[in-house]
Amino acid sequence: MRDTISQYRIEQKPYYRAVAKEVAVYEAAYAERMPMMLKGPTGCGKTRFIEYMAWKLQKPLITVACNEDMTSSDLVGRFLLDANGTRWQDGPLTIAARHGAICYLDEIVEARQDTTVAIHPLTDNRRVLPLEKTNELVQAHPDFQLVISYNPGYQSVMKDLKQSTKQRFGALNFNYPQHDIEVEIVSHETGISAEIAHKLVAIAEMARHLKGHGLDEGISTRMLIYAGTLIAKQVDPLTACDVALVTPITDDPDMCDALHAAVTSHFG
Amino acid sequence: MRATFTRLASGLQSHLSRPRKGTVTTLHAARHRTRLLDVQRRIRIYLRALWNDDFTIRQIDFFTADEGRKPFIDKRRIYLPSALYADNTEHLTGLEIYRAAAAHASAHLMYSKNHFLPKSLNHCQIAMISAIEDARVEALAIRKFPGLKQLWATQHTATPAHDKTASDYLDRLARALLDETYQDDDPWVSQGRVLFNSADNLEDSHISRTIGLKLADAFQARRIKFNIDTDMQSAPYRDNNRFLWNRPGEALEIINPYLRSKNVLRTDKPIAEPKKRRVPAREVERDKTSHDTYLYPEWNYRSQSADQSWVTLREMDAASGDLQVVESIVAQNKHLVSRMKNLLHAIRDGAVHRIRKLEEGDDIDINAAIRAQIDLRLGRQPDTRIMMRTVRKTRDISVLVLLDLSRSMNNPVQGQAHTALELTQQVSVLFADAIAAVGDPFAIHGFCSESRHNVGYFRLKDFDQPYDDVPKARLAGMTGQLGTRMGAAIRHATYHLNNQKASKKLLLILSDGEPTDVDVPDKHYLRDDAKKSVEEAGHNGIHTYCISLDPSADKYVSRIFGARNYMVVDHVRSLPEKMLLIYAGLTR
Ligand SMILES: Nc1ncnc2c1ncn2[C@@H]1O[C@H](COP(=O)(O)OP(=O)(O)OP(=O)(O)O)[C@@H](O)[C@H]1O
Ligand SMILES: [Mg+2]
Repeated sequence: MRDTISQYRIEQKPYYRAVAKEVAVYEAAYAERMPMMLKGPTGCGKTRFIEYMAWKLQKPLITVACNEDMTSSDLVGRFLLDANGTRWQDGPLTIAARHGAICYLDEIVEARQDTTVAIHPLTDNRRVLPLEKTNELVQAHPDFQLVISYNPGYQSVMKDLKQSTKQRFGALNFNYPQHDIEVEIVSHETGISAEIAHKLVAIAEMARHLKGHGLDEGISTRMLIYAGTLIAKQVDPLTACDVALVTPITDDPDMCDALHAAVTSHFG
Repeated sequence: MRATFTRLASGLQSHLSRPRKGTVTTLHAARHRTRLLDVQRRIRIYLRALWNDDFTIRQIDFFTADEGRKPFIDKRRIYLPSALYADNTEHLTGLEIYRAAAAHASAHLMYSKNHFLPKSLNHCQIAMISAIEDARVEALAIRKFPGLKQLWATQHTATPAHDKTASDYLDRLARALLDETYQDDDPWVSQGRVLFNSADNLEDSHISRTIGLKLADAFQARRIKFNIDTDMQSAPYRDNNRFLWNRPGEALEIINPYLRSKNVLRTDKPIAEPKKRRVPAREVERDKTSHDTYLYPEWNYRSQSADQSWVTLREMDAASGDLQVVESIVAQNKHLVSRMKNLLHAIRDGAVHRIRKLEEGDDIDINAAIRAQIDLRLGRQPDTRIMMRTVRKTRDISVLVLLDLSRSMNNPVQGQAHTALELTQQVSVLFADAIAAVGDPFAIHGFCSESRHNVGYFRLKDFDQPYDDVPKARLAGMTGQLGTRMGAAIRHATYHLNNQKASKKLLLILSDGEPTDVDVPDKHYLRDDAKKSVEEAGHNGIHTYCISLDPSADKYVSRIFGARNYMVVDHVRSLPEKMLLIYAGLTR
């Protein structure tokens, strides 16, 4: 069983550039095993942050990408059939609870609400996970912690977490980093010069002005890293920006044109 | 009357004789026409991306004479010609000129904070100071957005060969200050370059005055005549710079900002504005016999309490209009309607089905069971999900579309040719058509108000009413008048939705702006009440969602409805689809 969990350990130090006091706050929360919620738009560094924290705290990290077809069995576990009969297999949440990992449920709002409630008993002070099918009550390992991510975009009106779920978590707000920090991240991740990274970030900031004014989301740090990677591969900056920033983010021709013009205002 | 006629005639004449020297609108067979109307939206988005601020772009009045067709700025509005002619070479498309003009004007609005005093200055001095100010704001903007230099520079065409008129020299100076690769050895132009480049603080607008005056002195020594009517910069994107010389608060005379000839009449009134019908209070009153009257509380944020029975709401008969209107909307948007129907069908068809691959279910899925047995015999890992369940999932949802029918709906949607009311009408017709085809219960109601004693509520289409000629005629007959007392209307819509048995209820509000009414000068009051009414609807199990037709509305709309519960839609094509997105999200 040692093996099951050791594959979730993070050996290499992930690159994470602290933006505010989030590292210290998270450490304090972990010391109390407080369930945490990472709030923020897509591609702004939530996943990277939790990888970094897991490495720093020397705890295994089990990540589950949630989707709407997910059932609670996908989290908790299920019986499998084999030639000799049936065999129980723990799901990722159960593994994390038994062996003391940090369990990161990415995009939790995507999961249906009946799935989400499976985490409730783990997040109050009982810290237990009842497995109905095996009649087992798993007591969470002292190292176990639950972390969820949540994108409060305005698009999905009807997709929201229940209050009873939300209120079980402490929350850290993530957003796109400040200009200089984002420049640092983009040039570190792609190897492009700070000067070009600065232009990419400035373009992203322009697009972020348009959120809610025709764009559903602004250009994320992740997209900038794609653009920077292309530029590092000698693609000319205008084309790289069109491919990695403008075309993916919208289908609206007016918006494309305005964004393209915004790009040329830096790379013209 | 006579005055209007003279004005019309002179305006028309100047329009017809439009192709003239020195203006951007010179008509040429090989030149392409770009209409502002077609590019306005992308320009507005572009400016927002640049400055994170909203600018209003207006079309220069059709009747403005030629010389006045240069772009100009008034307060925070940017006026651009209604159409531009350009050879569509790579950088000189009409769109690029519009974009350059908008960027230049916005740079003035961002950086030309101090206005100049024209007192005791001659025309030449004014033109020189303006030219330096143009260069100054462009230089500041280029610091932030280096690519703008290219955008502007391609539109300067002056060369040392232009050496006749004052405007030739103005153009060369303008080009030299913008584009360091431009070669010009003229001592005066060079002097301008040196003075401008050695200015120590570009953010200080006084340098424009100092340098401009020096250059004007040097220029007057050349004894080239300066003619106020013709000697202006010819780069098509540059505005007429009147804005710089107007004290803030002092209204520009918009009709013809630069033309100085005698035959233009000054008038404050626009020419042809249709009279809007106001329903007098008496008329509203008379109608009340036909339907019920309701009293609603209203939230008073100052006392933080509700004033009971404060608002009187009356259900009134909605006027009918010409069915033709509805039919032509459907005919013109056939593809949209069919797309919406398909979408809705797709949602519904998925509603009655078997859920397979379950570990626990009501029935054995025989195919899956056989597959699992085979796998077992072969010693392979079988899929244990061999059960299934049949669900009769009737999509159980009621939608009430609540239309703002206040007077402001008669205003055009920013950047579009139609009014908010026309847009609302189109959307509700398309929506009704598609939903009716799928068979979900829906209602379309509307409201307007004139003080707390008179909130009018119109049931254009009710839940249990078939979508036939009667509601269609009412959709055709919708008009916009009076105020927007949104809270009371939302409460009444909540009341109607509460009578519905559906498990999911959606209240969709289409509006162009914030709540207002004649008896409430305090804007915050009705806003706060509307917010309260949305919360109340929520407690009644109703999802409230707002589609706002005003692009600049988001601040208060998000305050009323919550950041996740609204979208600003300024484009008619995307509206029905977005509306369905909401609907699909709820019914999923
Ligand atoms: N503060 C940061 N330090 C280092 N890298 C960062 C930081 N912020 C963002 N990044 C970079 O941005 C990329 C995207 O971030 P990440 O995958 O963590 O986004 P996310 O917020 O988890 O997005 P999603 O919600 O879509 O999962 C990372 O791969 C990383 O390269
Ligand atoms: Mg100007």
